[in-house]
Amino acid sequence: MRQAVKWIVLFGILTASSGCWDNKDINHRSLPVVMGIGDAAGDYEVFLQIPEPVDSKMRVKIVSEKDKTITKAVDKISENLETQVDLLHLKLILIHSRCAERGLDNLFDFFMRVRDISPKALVVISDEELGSFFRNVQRSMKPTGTNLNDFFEKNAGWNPQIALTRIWQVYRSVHSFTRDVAVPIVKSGKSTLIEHMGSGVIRNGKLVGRIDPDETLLFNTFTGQSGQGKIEVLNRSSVMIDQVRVHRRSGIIGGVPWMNVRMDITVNLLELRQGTTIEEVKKELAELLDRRFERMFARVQAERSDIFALGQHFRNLLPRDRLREWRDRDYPRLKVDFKTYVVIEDYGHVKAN
Amino acid sequence: MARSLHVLLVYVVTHLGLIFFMYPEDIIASADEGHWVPILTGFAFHFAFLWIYMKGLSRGGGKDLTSLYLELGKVAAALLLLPVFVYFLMVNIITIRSYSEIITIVFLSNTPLWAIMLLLFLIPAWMASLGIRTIFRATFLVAAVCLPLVLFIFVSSFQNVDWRYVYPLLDKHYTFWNRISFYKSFFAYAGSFLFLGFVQPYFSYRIRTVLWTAVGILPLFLFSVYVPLLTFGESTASTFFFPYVVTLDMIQINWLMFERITVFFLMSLIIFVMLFVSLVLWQSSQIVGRFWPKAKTNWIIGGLFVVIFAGCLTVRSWNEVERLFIWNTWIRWYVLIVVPLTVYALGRRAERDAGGDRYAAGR
Amino acid sequence: MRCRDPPSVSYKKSGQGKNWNQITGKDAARMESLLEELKRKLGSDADWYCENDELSGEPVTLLGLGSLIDVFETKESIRKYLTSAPGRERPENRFLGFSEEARTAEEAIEAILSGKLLVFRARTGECWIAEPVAKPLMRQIGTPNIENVVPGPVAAFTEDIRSNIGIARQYLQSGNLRVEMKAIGAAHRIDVAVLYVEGRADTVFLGKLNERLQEGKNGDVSTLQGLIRVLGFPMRSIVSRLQSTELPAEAVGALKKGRVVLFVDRMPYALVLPTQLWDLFALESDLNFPRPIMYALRALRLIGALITILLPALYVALVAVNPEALRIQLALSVAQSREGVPYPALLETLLLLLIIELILEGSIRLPKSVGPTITMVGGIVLGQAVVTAKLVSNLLIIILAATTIANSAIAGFQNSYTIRSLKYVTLLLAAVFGVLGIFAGFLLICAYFASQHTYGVSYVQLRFAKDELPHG
Repeated sequence: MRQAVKWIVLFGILTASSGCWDNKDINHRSLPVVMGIGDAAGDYEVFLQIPEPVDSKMRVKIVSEKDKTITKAVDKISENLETQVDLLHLKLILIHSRCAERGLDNLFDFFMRVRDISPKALVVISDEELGSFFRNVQRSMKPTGTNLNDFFEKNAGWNPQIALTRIWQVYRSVHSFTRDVAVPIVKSGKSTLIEHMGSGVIRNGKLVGRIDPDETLLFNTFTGQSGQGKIEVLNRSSVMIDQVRVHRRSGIIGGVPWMNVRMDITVNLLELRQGTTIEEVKKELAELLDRRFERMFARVQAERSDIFALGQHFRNLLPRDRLREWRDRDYPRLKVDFKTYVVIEDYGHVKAN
Repeated sequence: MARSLHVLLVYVVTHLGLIFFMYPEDIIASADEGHWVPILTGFAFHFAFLWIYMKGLSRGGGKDLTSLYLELGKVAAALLLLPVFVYFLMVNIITIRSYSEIITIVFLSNTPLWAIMLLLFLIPAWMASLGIRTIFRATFLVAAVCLPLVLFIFVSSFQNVDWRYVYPLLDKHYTFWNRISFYKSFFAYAGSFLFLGFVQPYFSYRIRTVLWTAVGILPLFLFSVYVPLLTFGESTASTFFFPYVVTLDMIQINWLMFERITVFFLMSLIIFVMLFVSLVLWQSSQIVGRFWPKAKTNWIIGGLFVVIFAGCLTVRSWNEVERLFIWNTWIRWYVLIVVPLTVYALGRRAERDAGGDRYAAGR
Repeated sequence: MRCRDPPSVSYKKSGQGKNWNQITGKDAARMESLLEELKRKLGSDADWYCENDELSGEPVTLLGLGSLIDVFETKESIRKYLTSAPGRERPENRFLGFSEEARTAEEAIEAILSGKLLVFRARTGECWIAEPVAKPLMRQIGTPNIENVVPGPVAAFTEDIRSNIGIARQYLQSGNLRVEMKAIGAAHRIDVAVLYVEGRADTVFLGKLNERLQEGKNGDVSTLQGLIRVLGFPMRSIVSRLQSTELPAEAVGALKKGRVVLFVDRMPYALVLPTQLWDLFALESDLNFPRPIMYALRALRLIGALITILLPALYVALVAVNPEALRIQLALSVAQSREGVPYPALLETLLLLLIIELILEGSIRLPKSVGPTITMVGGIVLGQAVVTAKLVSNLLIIILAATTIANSAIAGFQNSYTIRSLKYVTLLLAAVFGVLGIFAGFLLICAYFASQHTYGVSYVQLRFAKDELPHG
């Protein structure tokens, strides 16, 4: 009898307590997918794009609030919604360029500290005011709720011209001595959902410069994310990148760091203008890429931001205290010798001369 | 391997639970570069004393630790075992408190701490009351399901490493022996080799197998530190409390239907830690039981449960946990060094007394 | 005289034949009172058979229970026996070839109740026990009821213990097969047979088993619970230490592995001891498949067991406590499916589990004619109406259907009940603690299994690990 009482009491406690700790069921939570952070006279203006199941369809809701800290802003939003806001499923963080220029280290410290926000979320910068961006996007969006995210999803709408940077990579670059990142810049589009404007160069958490989509393609190629990017050559011909191999050699001569980079690129021919030979295409492509790299590198070197992570190759050549000042001391003096070798492999169905 | 299967599994499982949480942070804080040196140093230390301990036990003829000490007389044995007993109590308090804190931080921010601690302690206490054979067999069952999961996720944590962060390989000025965090890292070693001295009447094992297993988990020690270092770089990784856990959050596996596989990895480790806690609790109850033979085992375990749980409740914040950690470090020296040495000496004496007969009869 | 006996069964009954003495008056009086006693106790029963007859010129009275004896056939065979062997040398202590005698009223009643024919010799007052032609009350050896076997023999055990022993002997023709019979029970006795292969079975284990049977020889073993009590197993354990199987192939396979098989009279299955956790996944009939397929089947059963224990708990944990572990698309569709459900996930799951358990239990009780209708109604009610009425989410129905199917993949009818009840442990813990609760529940279940043992043989014994030392 005593045994039975003991079990009944235990069971009663267990059933009573399962609702006790504010565990909200999944349909009582809002799971925003995109968070926008804008600048409103020094405060943060936080936008949340929340997909909502209504009847058997999905609707998208945009809410926003302003406050000095992000958590308070999110809390205010949660206050006014009938469900609890959970940042667990955030996939995309959209930051206004003014915030980015001011400095992102506090923001990313917050993102990494808080367990809710997944460090795998993508970071994107917007030039346009976030209010109007979200309004435009909502008007033209399909009601599945994850469209904006699909733009950057590798197995959905991603293109190799778009840089892919996640929160943890930005955080790493804030603290790292030898690495910086490039973050895509978008604005809302007229006939498409959004328009890709190129990438922003982030140095130690601050937006310091921009590169255009073609240069971003080169950047992605360099870091191994070339996908199947398409390059336009000689005004009317184009090729598609198949495979890329980058060989790097680095060293220090007379206190000056140098690096020899050789990129072997295998492409497939797509469009060929009448009257152009294959050899011309190959030569022109190699020169095009070399020139593009030199221009881009000169620009980022002037900004002192090492987005190609070239400093990584000097980790075994420089002592740690010098590495600490890589960006200011040695990086501006770095000489890079960049050469591209092109092989055209696949001509498609039509012969070429 | 079949001859030491249970002991092997318990050894691996209890170490796994301890390695991946706090060990990386301590090692990363103890050196700026070339972290493999503190890792290997600590490991060599542990390996040497493990060998001494097991040799002493086998020469002592299959008797367990308490019996060996009791040969010196009850008072001497009590004095020698008292630090060990206190160490066990502290280890349990620290483990349960800190892992409950980790769980609160990582998953369940809404559940109160005492409830998690209760869960984390009640189950191991029940297992300890069922006996050592139950603990070992349950380890086998749990390991059969959870070890493949843990190893799979461990392998996929290499997804984002950049091997160049290994450089520089050597630090010019090593100061790790001056830093307290190096000594704190011994938590991962010292907690779980003493059980080898308590299980001899129940499960046999071969010394060689255990030593090879110890070498086998060395890569886990190495990579639990290096995976965060290689992914983030030292300057970033040193900003985290639990670097390995954060690294797991980065893993992207597109073909699984789960999002944060961190959860499953950590949960398996928590289960392993629960097995560890039950093992330590059982050892403590064995020590008490030898000095107080009249008491029933279940009552001893109940009493220890109350004491340890009360201890957990009085620790209020993470800082106090850290302080307990540091205090425990001193007792850990005793456990790590004095116990194996005394066991070795006693074992040799027993061997000489038995006339050179290596495997004394009786068990 | 023995007619149509099952082969090679030996009886050890009390009261062997004694030397033929002169009948004293006291003996004769005793015999008379024996007859009176019998008539008093059983004479008023409707199936009491008592007839005066003559055998070899001697007046005898034939006594027995007409519901157990085929009287006509018995008398025919007696006459045939007598006419076919005239004038043979009869040994002193026998009468007409009967060799057993009932001395006391208890022995006589016991013999009659077990279906024997008593031949009461009026002149000397002796009461001889004869094996008659029994009424065909036994079932034919048929196919198993609760176990299905795909390739492999389909004979099944029946209720009669002697037939079962005979079937076992047919499947295992070995001189080392030992059969020991005990009669257990005070008010009414039930035969229990212990079978083992000498040299394979563990003698310590057998010793403990026999000890228990001896101690508990007054227990009631007409149900398995009674047998469990007699054998001294803990009554509160949900792990069944007696694995019941209707298939002779399984029982004999267990015997060959060194286990002990019990037969209980009137129970149409063999009870195998000791049980192991691996029995949930490995069947003897798996060996009739090629080896890779056998491994695949066993892996499938293992996955089925894991799904049963973990899946409902996973649903509750991921929906209520830890939704960050789901992919966003899945999370959104789950949220959509739960739209409008008025109660928390745990209650929803428990409700639907209750309905499914009721259906499972009810489908056993239903007669074959009504069964399909109820199943259809249950399916429609559960499948369609309950979702449309927004009482539960449709994802949950899929999950619970998968759980029920996975549960049935486990070998052993009683084992599936064990696993079915264990899934509630993980479910409740998951509702409170989320994914941590699932793993903690799994640990609890593993620890529970690890703590079960049969006379010292653990439930989770690893045959290939040789590192365990017997208890000092």
